[in-house]
Amino acid sequence: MTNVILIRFSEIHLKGGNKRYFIKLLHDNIKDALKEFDCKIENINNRLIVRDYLDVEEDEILDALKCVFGVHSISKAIEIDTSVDNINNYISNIIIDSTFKCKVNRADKSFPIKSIDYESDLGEIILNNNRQAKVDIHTPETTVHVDIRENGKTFIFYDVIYAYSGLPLSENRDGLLLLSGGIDSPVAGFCMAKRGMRQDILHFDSFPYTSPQAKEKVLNLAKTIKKFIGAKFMYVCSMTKLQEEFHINCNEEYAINLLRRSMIRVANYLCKTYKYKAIITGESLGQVASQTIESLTSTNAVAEFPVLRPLIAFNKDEIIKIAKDIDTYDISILPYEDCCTVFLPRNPIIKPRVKDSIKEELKLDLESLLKYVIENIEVIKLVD
Amino acid sequence: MRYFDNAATTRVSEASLKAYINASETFYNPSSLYKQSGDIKNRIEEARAFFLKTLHGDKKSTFIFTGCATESNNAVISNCVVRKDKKYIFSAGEHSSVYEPAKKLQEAGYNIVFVPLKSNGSIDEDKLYHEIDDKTAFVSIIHVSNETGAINDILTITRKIKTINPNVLIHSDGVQAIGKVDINLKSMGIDFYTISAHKINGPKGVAGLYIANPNKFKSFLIGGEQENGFRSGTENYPGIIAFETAVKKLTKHDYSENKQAILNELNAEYILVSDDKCVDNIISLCFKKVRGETILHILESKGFLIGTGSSCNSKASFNRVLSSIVNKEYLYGAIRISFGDDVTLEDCRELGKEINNAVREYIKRTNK
Repeated sequence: MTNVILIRFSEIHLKGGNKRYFIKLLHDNIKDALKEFDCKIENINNRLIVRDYLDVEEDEILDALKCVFGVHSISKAIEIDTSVDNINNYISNIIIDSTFKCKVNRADKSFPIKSIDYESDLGEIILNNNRQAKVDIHTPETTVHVDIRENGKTFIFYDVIYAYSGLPLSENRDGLLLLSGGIDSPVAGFCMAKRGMRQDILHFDSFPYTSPQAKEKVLNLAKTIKKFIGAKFMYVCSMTKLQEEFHINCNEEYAINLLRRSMIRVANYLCKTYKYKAIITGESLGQVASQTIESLTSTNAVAEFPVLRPLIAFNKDEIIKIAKDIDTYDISILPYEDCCTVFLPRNPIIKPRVKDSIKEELKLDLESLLKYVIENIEVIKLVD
Repeated sequence: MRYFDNAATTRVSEASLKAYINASETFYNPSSLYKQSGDIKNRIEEARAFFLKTLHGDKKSTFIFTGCATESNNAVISNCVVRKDKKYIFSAGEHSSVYEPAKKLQEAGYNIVFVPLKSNGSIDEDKLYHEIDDKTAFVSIIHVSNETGAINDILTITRKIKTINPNVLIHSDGVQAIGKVDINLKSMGIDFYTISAHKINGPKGVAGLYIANPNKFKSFLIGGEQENGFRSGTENYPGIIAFETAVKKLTKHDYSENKQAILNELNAEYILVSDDKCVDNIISLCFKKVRGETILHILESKGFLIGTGSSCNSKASFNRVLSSIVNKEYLYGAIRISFGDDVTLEDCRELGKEINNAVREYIKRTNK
């Protein structure tokens, strides 16, 4: 009888011929997530098992596992050798003083009793040994799960903790997340990571028009989402010079549109140089002037890589809900201005036309300005 | 780096640091029963007597050592604001360690009144006297504003308040006043007065509270009954000795020439909040259509450290004190320069030039 943590996968079983690859990826990612704990991870058919860990670290291990994409759910379980006697014996010793049901999963088809029959057998054992216990198959207070696996082991557990599902992060699908100090962009990074995209981070600042605290705040956000998105580097690009030049030379209404187009160009450069395959932003359709379909068309026009906008159809309250769940919300609402709020035009253009954006850009030497900001990108290592 | 942010904190003087290190070697707990402890206890009493003498405390008064000015201020408020049927008056220019507790008590249903400020940041005295009535139990007025350097005439104010209602207890936060204006607590007739070591070249982590009538004070720190029962917690002996040394070394400086040297260099549009009724070691300036924090960072890159008067942030709350006395166009452009005794005229001229350049550059870059 051993205490273990049972890990179930999401979607991976749909992967047919690639199943083995995805399980290996998930196994490696879990190993990485648990590298600070003394434990073993075992791969059995359709489950991963964490064992030989310290009892006092169990909750921390569960928390770490919850952040690994590709994990569907986890349970603290008891592992015993499969046999009718063994299971019956274990079940006859458990204490239940509430309503309950038994749920048997017979992956091992050689087990002699069918799931549905064995559920009622086990229910009877529990009733015989616990006077207070009562069966309720619809809304039981306690569910006794008995998972009989193919490897001769049976896992008995009560609770199922759901993780975020999705696909395991992969280095082969690197993306570049544009992270501001706001609520949306960390959530966008989280959403793409859920689909297996590992991301590094690009942040734009406007020092000295913004505080050093604004950058600290973003670094704090980066460290918070690192465990989800697997970020190793954060690039900090100062847009001060560009913003000043746009402000002096161009139509004020276009200030943010031009800035965002240049942000995409900086991202293009990093994607080409460091082989990122996509640019991820926290834009949500119609949220602000720079996120109308016309504005997105204008910024998209300069993109040389796919711009993924996972929040495009999310409402603000839906985004906030996720931000709170992943612990970025409280950092995001700290009151330090980020790059976008400096040189804010009174009336930003809501429906920019690409040809007008280009016309504005021709008013200055954009190429050498971009060269200047790119040359001054600071690279911050997020891992030791 | 040339340091012009002495209202935030000051460099620890060599003498104070030395006193701190020496006293640290005598590590015994003053409450223990052997001679070594008794010696320390006596030395602390000596220091207490020194503070009372220097600040001209009343005969029956006491002076207690605390961990910081925030603690002193909080202790006074929690001691004095206790009944919901009484009225408690605060100047709108109080330091946050007074203002925030008052705000919290107001939210909890206490009758708290904030009296507005005049254009230099001092309290509007007429409005203050108008508020004093039979129900008034407590008044707190900062002696010298940490934002603008404005001096409140505590002596006159205390006398007038006590004429209207002699039962009012009066507190003043003198953290920015000590060493800058004359302090005679007895003749001021003040009931509580706060000072702090790190604003006068002493170490951080030690401050003091003058209590005119110890019968009217109960500490919110309960425990080992140290400081004659007025502040439980093992005494910070090295801090107290270093604090005493810092006060002994205090000399009054005239910074008017330094102030003028800076102002002479400026030709941008600004409001000088700190007028001639303010202490001359603090200059609060508000530039038009400029962001104070950006000026701070530009000056930082030139080797000058100053303060801002405002957090200059559209999302953060405005600077509470300045927002009540200057309009929004100037509010964002607030900076605060504060001198220490090592300042030179040459540094001031250079700082003035750099401020002027920074403001001009800012305006050039951000305005069309």
